[in-house]
Amino acid sequence: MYPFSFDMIGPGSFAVLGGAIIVVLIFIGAVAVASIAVLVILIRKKKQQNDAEDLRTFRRDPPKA
Amino acid sequence: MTVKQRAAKAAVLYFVIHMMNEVVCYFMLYRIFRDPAFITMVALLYNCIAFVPQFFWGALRDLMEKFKQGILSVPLLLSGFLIFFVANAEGALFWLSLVLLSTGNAMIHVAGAELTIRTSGGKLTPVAVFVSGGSFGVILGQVLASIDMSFWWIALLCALMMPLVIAGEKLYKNNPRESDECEGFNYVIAGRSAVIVALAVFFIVAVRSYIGYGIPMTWKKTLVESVLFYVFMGIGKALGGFLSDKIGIRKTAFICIIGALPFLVLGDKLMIVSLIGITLFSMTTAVTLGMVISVIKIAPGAAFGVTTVALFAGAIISWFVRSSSLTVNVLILVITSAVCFLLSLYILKPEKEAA
Repeated sequence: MYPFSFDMIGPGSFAVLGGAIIVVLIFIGAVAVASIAVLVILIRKKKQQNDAEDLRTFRRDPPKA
Repeated sequence: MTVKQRAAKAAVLYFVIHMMNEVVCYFMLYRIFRDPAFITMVALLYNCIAFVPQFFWGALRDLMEKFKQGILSVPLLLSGFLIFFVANAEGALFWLSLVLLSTGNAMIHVAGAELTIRTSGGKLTPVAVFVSGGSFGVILGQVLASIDMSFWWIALLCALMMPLVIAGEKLYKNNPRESDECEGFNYVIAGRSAVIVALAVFFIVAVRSYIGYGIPMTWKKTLVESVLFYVFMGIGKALGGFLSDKIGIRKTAFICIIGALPFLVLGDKLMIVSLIGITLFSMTTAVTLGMVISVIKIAPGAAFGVTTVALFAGAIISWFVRSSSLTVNVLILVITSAVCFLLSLYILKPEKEAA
């Protein structure tokens, strides 16, 4: 990670940096929402795949009564 | 090709690609000569775009197998790099070059994680070797930026990443299904909630990132000492994966979390002692990866992303809350290490069960 410290900057720059941090927080929120949406789609897709696999197995080798 | 051979090839390939990627990024970052406030903004933006969206890019790659991030990443890196150096970028163009560079960086990380995890057959050495390449690249990039070297050499190095990335994509062919679906990753005690494990891993990695900045190291003053620091960090990251596969992840967690403590605390002025501590401390990388992949097997890319978001979170906290007092730093180190160790004991499967 690119290292830096807030000790490096003067008090005059904090307003600009405050704005930058708000932008960063909004960005993190957007990334989190988008990632969770993708993961939900992925989980559903895997579930459908597993169900289809189970159905194939059931048809090929039905349980004996 | 056997699973072991494929895993070894993927690890070596992405060790080199990861190192080249960091050389490109850090060469550019260390050629930005501006006032401290500007550099602070650069660091904030670069770290945010390079680390946070890895969770998203990873999830997207897990969803769409045909989404080849590795191949996309090289043009992104190269365009960002060339816009900065050739166009002598100022204003909006400069920020564009930084966004391109950091996005390329994020994508190459996810591509490397996906390949080394999915081809490993449940072993941690390949992904640990891939991750370790970054430490060597970070310092090499800084050293090359500090000497009078033409940026064209680095642009050439960046372009040379393309055939390597293509070779990586080819390694996926004939990957066994159980390996591709990460079925070999069973490092967590059965019944542990995936959300709790993911949150615990997030906490442990964020703490590692945070205390990484608080480790007392008054010995580190010259460039040579910085090089040694990064080299030992890289060795530790790779060693963590190797040891986890050899002696078990729980024993490795014990060695790296508790074993590192005395060396880190006593190594403030003694370089060798501190370097041993850094090596042990860096070994936790593989342990946390093993934990999180075990509970998010369907999305190893997203699992890797959890750790990179946590790294960013830890760094952000350290930028705001930092103490210059040795006693406070040592106390933070001891307390957080103890908490991380207890969490590891709660999550990680004993070696007898894992076998």
